[in-house]
Amino acid sequence: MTNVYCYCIIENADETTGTVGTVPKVTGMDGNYGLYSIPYRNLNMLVSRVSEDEFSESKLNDAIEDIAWLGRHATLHEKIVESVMNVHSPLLPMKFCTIYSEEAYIKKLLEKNYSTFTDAINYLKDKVEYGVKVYVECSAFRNKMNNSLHNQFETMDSNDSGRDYLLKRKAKKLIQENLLAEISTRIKMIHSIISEWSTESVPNKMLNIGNKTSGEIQVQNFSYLIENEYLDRFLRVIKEINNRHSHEGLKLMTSGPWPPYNFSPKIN
Amino acid sequence: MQTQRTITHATESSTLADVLERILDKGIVIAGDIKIKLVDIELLTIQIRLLIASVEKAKEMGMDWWVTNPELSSKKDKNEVESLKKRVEELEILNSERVIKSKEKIPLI
Repeated sequence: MTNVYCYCIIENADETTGTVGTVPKVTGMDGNYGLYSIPYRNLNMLVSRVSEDEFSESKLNDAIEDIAWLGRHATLHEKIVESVMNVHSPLLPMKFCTIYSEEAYIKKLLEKNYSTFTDAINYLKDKVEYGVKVYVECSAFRNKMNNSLHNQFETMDSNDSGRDYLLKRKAKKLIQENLLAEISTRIKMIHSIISEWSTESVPNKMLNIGNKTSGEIQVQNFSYLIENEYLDRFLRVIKEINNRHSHEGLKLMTSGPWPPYNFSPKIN
Repeated sequence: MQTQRTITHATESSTLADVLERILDKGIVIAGDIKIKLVDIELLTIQIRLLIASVEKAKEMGMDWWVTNPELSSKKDKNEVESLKKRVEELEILNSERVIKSKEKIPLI
């Protein structure tokens, strides 16, 4: 027995025959079955069959708690959607593990939300999603900001009188707050500069808080929707910001182009 | 006609964290009874974080990124800062009273 795994929604690409056009010849989440289309009017849900042995509700809810399984299948899901993105753009990516028992339900889904999906596809035409994360290397930033001020209070020791200790402690705290305010000013400025070249932006969760090289923390994580014609400038501005701010420990990291996960419509 | 573009894949410039924060949380989310129900993702991320603490293998995969939740930790920090602030103030008042007292005593000695 099999279920139907949904990857993404695309419009017909072949206007003369009114069909989906090229469907990448890749296997789906279950290595035994390939991708195919379930059409409704000019929309198509790209799906593949998946075995119930692995992709049933009970099996799946156990499986996703296995970190290795999740890592492997998350990457696979993304790669399949990206292989579609290579030949069909725009597309609407589905959330991980959107699975139905019958194709009929998927047709109904497309029918019910037809205008929402077509509006979204029209809006996303000639646009791409990029992720931009801002990292700060704390000690570099602190050194740049107020080295002398900070050093003055570095000499705290246990022989200090209670009053000295408290004053120094207070001063240190003020410096800390000042640093945080500086970082916050910087990331707001960075966001407003790069937003100029994007149509829309969405804040993302900052899961990747600790970077691999120690001492760096993530202070901002946004996804931007960018028109193709502005993409070069968008990336160039980021490069310039990196050049200008690297000496104070600020670093911008881009990823993309992504399927427009952050700019897909919400449906009920 | 669809123009064919060469796309550098997002997966080449990203980490598994980038992928997970998108595919688990974003994209088109269908609610309803007909489809297979997955456990709540928010819950899942928490579970992953707990798991990660003990799963060395995850680190080998480069999945060591949920060590701290910024939302939780910043809140905690704020509370900590607040309580520390209060304590410092209390101590300062106490200390200054002591200083005044000791100053008053000086002429007597």
